[in-house]
Amino acid sequence: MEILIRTAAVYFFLLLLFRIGGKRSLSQITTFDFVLLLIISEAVQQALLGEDFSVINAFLVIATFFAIDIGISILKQRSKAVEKVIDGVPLIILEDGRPIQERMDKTRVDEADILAAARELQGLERLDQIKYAVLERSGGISIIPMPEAKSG
Amino acid sequence: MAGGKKSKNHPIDEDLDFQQKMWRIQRAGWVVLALLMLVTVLGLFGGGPLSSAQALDSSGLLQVDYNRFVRMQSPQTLHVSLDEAAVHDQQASVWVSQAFLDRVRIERIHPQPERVTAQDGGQIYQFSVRGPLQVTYDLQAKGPGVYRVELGLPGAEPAVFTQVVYP
Repeated sequence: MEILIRTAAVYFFLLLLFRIGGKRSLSQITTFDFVLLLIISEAVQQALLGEDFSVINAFLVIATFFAIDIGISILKQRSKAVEKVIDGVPLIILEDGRPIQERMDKTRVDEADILAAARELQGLERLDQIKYAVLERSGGISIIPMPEAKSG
Repeated sequence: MAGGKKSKNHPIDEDLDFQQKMWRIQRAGWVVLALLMLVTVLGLFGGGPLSSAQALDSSGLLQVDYNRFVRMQSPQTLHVSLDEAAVHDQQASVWVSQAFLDRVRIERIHPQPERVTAQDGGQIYQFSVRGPLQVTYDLQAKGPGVYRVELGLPGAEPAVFTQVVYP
């Protein structure tokens, strides 16, 4: 019983923390983010397992995580509102080659991030070649290029 | 809708109202995180000015230094100081309530008591000593909750204080 509460507490605490942190918290994983992730997992491990190092305990923790995760994904499927709260909504941060500064500030995305995404995804070089840049729910940036006629 | 103009050309369904609300919640969350850091420094989770406290027993001969806030299964220490007047024939005793002892694991008592006797709903730790006595109890709380600690000289009104044990 206690192990379920521990696991659920950790799950929802992390969910809350990452929602507060914003979309970009760990989406584009730099080397240091990766290290951070490892440290977080290390810190969480003690709280999850306590002093019980039995296999059953580990199984219960993992099973509980899966159960909560499946439960939430079902909830998200059924309710748009739940999905929005947990995953957030996508946001246009650049339109017709013009960055929307206010939104970029709030989401802590800068032009360099957009340009990086444009290069990686579409092989574009300049902002004016981009019709839309969208900050997706996953935290990644997707790029929709200008139609050929306009950019040429 | 600040800065929100919806057109059919937009590739996605934006929900700017919701986004604004989310941003406000995020900002509030950051403030909460900062406050959390602050109260941690102050000792709300143990080990700071808010947490350290002292209690005297009725005779004033015994003083306990303790933490108001401790965490379950993590080490904590009770410092018990006895005045010279509480020492008789090079013997001094400290009584601790059984209710409290049941809820903690005693890691170490220093100096080691000569004898431990169960009495008056608690245990009496007897020490051999010259001059004033300093005893440290290294403990671990077994579970979360609010602990009522009673600790004193045998036969006298004990010092009573509470400890909050976080899960």
